[in-house]
Amino acid sequence: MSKKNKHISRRKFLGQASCAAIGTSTLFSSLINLKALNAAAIDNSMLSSNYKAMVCLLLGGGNDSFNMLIPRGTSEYGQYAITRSNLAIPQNDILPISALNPDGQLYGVHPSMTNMQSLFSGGNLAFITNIGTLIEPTSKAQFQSGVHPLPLGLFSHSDQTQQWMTGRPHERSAIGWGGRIADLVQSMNTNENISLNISLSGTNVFQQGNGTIEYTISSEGALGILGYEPDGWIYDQLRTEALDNMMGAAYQDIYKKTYVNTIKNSQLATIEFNEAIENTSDLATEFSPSELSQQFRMVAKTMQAREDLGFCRQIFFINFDGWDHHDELTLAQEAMLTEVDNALGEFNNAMTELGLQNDVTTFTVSDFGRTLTSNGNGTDHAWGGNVLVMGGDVNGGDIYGQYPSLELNNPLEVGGGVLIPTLSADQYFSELGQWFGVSNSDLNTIFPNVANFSDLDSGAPIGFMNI
Amino acid sequence: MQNKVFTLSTTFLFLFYFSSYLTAQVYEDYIGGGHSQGIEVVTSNDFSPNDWDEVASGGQSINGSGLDARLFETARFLSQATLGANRDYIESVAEMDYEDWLDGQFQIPTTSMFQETDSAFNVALDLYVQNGGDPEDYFGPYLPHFYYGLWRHNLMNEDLLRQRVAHALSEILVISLQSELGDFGYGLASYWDILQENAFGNYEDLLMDVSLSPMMGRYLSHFNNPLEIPSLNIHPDENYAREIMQLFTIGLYELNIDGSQVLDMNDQAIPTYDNDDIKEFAQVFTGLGPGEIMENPWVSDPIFGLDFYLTIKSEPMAMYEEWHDQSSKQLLNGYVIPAGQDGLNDIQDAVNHLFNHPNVGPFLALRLIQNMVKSNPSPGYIERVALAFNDNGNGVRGDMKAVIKAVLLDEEARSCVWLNEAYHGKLRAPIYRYYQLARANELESDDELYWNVGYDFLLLTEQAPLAASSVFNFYSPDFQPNGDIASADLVAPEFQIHNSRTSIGFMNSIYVNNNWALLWDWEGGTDDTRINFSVLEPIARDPEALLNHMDVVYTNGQLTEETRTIIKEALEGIQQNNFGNQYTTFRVRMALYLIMVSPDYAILK
Repeated sequence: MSKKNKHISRRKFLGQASCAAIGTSTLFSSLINLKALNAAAIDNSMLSSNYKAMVCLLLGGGNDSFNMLIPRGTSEYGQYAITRSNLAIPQNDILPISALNPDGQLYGVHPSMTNMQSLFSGGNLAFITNIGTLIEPTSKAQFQSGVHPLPLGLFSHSDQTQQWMTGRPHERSAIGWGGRIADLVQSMNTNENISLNISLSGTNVFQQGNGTIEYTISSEGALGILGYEPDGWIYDQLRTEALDNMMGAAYQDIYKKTYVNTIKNSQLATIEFNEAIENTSDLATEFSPSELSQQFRMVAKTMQAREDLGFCRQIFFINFDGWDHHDELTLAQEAMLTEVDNALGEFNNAMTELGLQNDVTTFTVSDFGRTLTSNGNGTDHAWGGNVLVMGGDVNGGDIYGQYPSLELNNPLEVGGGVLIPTLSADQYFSELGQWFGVSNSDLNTIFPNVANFSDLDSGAPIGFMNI
Repeated sequence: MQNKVFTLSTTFLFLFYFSSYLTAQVYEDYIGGGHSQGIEVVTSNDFSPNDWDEVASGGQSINGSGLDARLFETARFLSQATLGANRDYIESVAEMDYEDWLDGQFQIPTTSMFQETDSAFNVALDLYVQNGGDPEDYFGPYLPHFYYGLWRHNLMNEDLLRQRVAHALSEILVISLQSELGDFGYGLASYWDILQENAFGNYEDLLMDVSLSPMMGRYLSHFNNPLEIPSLNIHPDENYAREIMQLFTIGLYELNIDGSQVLDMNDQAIPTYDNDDIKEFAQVFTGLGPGEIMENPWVSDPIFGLDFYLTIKSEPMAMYEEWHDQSSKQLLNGYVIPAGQDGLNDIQDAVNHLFNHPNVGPFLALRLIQNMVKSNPSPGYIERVALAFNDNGNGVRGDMKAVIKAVLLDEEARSCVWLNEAYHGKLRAPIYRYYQLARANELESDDELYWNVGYDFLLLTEQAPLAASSVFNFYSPDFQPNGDIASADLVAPEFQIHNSRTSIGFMNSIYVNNNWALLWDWEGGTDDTRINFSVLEPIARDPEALLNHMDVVYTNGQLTEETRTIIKEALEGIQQNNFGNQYTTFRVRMALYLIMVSPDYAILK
């Protein structure tokens, strides 16, 4: 692209619609790749072409994902059944899927995941297999050497969840990769009160940036100050009036002024957010009553209000907790996978309804995979596992990575049915970042270990996104 | 992990209609209470630093509460020196000389937090079994059991100063249960024991104990840290080497005794160390591994490289000489640790070397003052505390008692002339506000366990003991919130966790405390702890009297006329004719909520 074109495109771009504030950003050049910029300038419906959102679904506690994506070929299933013993899903119950680039093996998904099965067939869903936290590629011998760099606190919920959120398995960091991206991109949004990062699950490391934090909402909308009810019962009216007076007063003391201003601005954002949601039309897509479905519904409603709220880029976070199935794995996981399958299916329908199918990518993370072997009626903490990615820009219908042997004592198995991952979680995140429009140099800063696995400049590290 | 989730609903409000209270204490309204006609109590002219307690201000003469001046002063002192006090305690300390109170506090022996945690765990385990649970399924002790012990202790204890100092130290020498450390309740409690046992000891001993703590070793990765192995491209971990300098002792730049930076000829700050220094210190902290280990099927004796899980977390790490780098180490300012020393001697030398660096006094002074008194101390205040660190008067360096006295008895902490300085004061950190709410009120709980896990509070406010998001603590000593504070080139650390989420999160936490429960745990079948509002109901008949009480206990006489009027209007809207006989309860709840969220309380002047 010539310099002249770039200039014109940018001005044209700035003249349009709600993402115009982008022009005020000094980070402009590093924020959006030129391709996205150019496309935005050419397309008159700039908003829909320019808007991009990621939805991160954390399956908190450690999903037993080798019962989510299952080998169904005779020999592989046989091995699976031996290793998993009483936890194995009956072969006939597995829902078959056909990957585009088969490795010669047959796969299926958990019997509860009918929507995922059809989304996979329709090309809107992909799996990534045996992925996990890694600092460097790691062999069994290196793992056992005691001196090879390994992620801190392997098998620990808190450390491993944190590393899936930070992309920094070598250190204990409080800053998440969603937050780091927001630090770069936040100024693209015209809304200064409401963060690019929106959480349906409260405080989380993933969305904590150096200069940005997430904006927390619930499945009902923004929460704001409890008991702040101008139209509530008399007690809350009195409270509301007092709070309004406190927030409205002038303070000489700079600490008091700063204290009050933060509360005031936050509460104003609450009001603004809820009004924008109320102004949206009803979705035709129906969502189940489960809390997870309702959370995805609110994500869809927020996207619906994106123009009103001034959003070009958004990252959503939902933590669906409770996968730590040391006991009663089979029944509990089935119930929870059903909820996930329903919620994702419904959300996908809503994206189609809103015309955002290609602009929104939903992906799962989880603390770790679980041990392949049974502890009686459950499984314990392990390492590598399987994740899923959904959206119109996903190169779906495929399984990425090398599905591991589930035989015990195989070269990746380090005891108790723990598998060393063969893909780094940071490769996964970098590719999502590339799709979102973050430059490779920024991604190499955000994910300091990804260069140990992939040269981002030579293309997508895994290939599951249409970039 | 079991996490009790609460649902907010107006139905909780009805609990208050049906609760039966213990017999309310008869509250003696003080003379003149409620008749001040809104005359401000504290003015700059009413006080002189030397004889505050002997003079009743003009305002107080009018409202008849003349002796409140000493109460206000004492409440302020206790806001700095404790985790909160109720009115009775404020009154008792008001009759004492503060130095005598400090000396008395120094004498109170330490209660083992390990024991507190252990006993909470055993009670919880018994409850679990009584409720039909299989003891094999009960996990712990882990973070909730540590919190049960810590909270219960801090609601019943007498070692108020020790606990406050331990909390302050936990924000300097940071480990965090927001990591795998949360799984190890005995380890967390033992780390707390290190902090509180050394709170009135010597800072060098504290540094040594912390350096050998397996919890710190695991958190900052010098546990099982091997010497350099060139053939495997392994080099010593630099994590602890860096942080013991940057965060625990000397900081990034050379300091003058008053905390200002030493400048070179070009007016540039002078770094205290560089990356080569870190590598030398990293060699010092090699060879530490498990001290004692649990019984297990694999090994009978502790060995280097053994999994952390098997380590007994209450025992210091042990040195494994074959994994320790025995070469000489060039530390700072030409100091050399000779080759061939025992590993523990190396560490003792390195700790002693850092401890004797001239930065430590002003470094620690700033952090303790910021935690207890104010965000922006004058250079003179830092210097006076730093000098006390350098020499306690008997030639001893690092005596924490001398440092604590210097922090709390300094003219800048005590004199009220500072109240009118624009930059005097600080935002009370959320956890200290929470503690104060619990400690200032009478509590009710059927089983009298008074356990609290505080995890919801952590999620709402980003703060709980030993739960910082990283080794950099909840906030940085030099954090500058945007706006007036940054424009004035001042700092305000606690504002780093006062953001769009946590500012309202704290208010909502108070809302829950007010409407439902103050403290709760993650066990089944226990009773939550609630605030007993009935104690204050008698004076709630007169909103002014209620506010006078609040002004002593919470705002230390700093409740402004504007805020007082705002709260009073809300209280006066609650009448017997619209709220029935419970109207005084509703008034107490309203007053407590509004005071707790008011800027007059949140900012400690």
